[in-house]
Amino acid sequence: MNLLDSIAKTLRLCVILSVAIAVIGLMAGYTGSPYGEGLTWLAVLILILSPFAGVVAATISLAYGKDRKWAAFGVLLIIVSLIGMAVALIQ
Amino acid sequence: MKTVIAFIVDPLLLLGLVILGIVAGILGALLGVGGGIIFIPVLTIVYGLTPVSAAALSLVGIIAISSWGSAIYLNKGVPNIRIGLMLEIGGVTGAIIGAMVAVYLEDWILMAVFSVVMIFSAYRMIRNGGSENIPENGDGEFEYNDLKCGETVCYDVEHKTGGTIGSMFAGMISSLTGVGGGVIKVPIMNIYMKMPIKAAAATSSYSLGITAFSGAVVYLIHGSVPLGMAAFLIIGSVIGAEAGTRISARIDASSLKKYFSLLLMASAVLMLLHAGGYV
Repeated sequence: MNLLDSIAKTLRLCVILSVAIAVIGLMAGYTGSPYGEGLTWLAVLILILSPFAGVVAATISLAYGKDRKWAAFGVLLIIVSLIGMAVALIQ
Repeated sequence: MKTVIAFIVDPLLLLGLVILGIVAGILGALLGVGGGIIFIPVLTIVYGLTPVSAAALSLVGIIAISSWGSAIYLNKGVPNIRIGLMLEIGGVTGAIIGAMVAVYLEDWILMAVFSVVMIFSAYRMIRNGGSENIPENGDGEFEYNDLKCGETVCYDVEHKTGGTIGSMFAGMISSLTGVGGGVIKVPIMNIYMKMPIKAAAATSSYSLGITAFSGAVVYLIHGSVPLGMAAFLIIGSVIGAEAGTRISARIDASSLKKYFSLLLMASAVLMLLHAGGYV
């Protein structure tokens, strides 16, 4: 499993999916469809989650390659990011 | 949806959002900065958004630039993912600390300190051209592809622990002032950790999305992201990031350092004016 390739594919997939859903959502919104808002919200959510998905992909790829030291940094970053989100939600 | 999208019906304003995304995307992907320094003033002054909505929309744009720009740079082997993960532990921790202590600190003091750091960094970059630890025998711990030369460059990274602490400072300042951490992270990586400027900029571009993630999720859950505007800004930002990575492949490292120094100076002046209450 190539480290850079796995992260790049994850990020690219998330962004393409987000843009595609955003365009459909906008079109639906302008035609008065009740699904427009939900689709656009989903598109933004997928985009926002893409960096986190990239970190998860990096950590899995590093662990798969038995690069324990850097995989541990990845796990720590995932934990810190989730704590950051929890703190922000509480505030 | 109608209430969200219908408030922007002027095609010029919609086009403006796409252009805003393109400009910020080029700058962000090229120099490793988020684009918040462009997004926030335009969204508040031109579009009349509240600071909260502008910040929320800015984070969405920053993530779009970071994710698309990084995907391209990663395919070409430019960013240092391992160093990026390590620095972000400090960056995200700093952002959390910044959010918790924000009410106890005077903004103008932080902004003044931030400005001085940026002016010093710009001076170092202009005078010394930054610094890189590239072993002469080509046996470095890390490597990146210089897209301009088409060569693989091996390099070592110094002061990893100190860099992570510096990144924590960047995350804290970013959280307290609303300015992206790229203008601090790139000098830390290039001047202090001796990473080549192009690898530093690409790594910074990758890491900024991770820093922005937590805050953006919360804004989205609280309904602070103007969804219709976000969709247009995302499209523009992706186009801009694509263009920024292409430009990066055509300019050499010394030019990039000069452009980055100018950006640092401009950011420092803006920050000082803001600290003094002039903007």
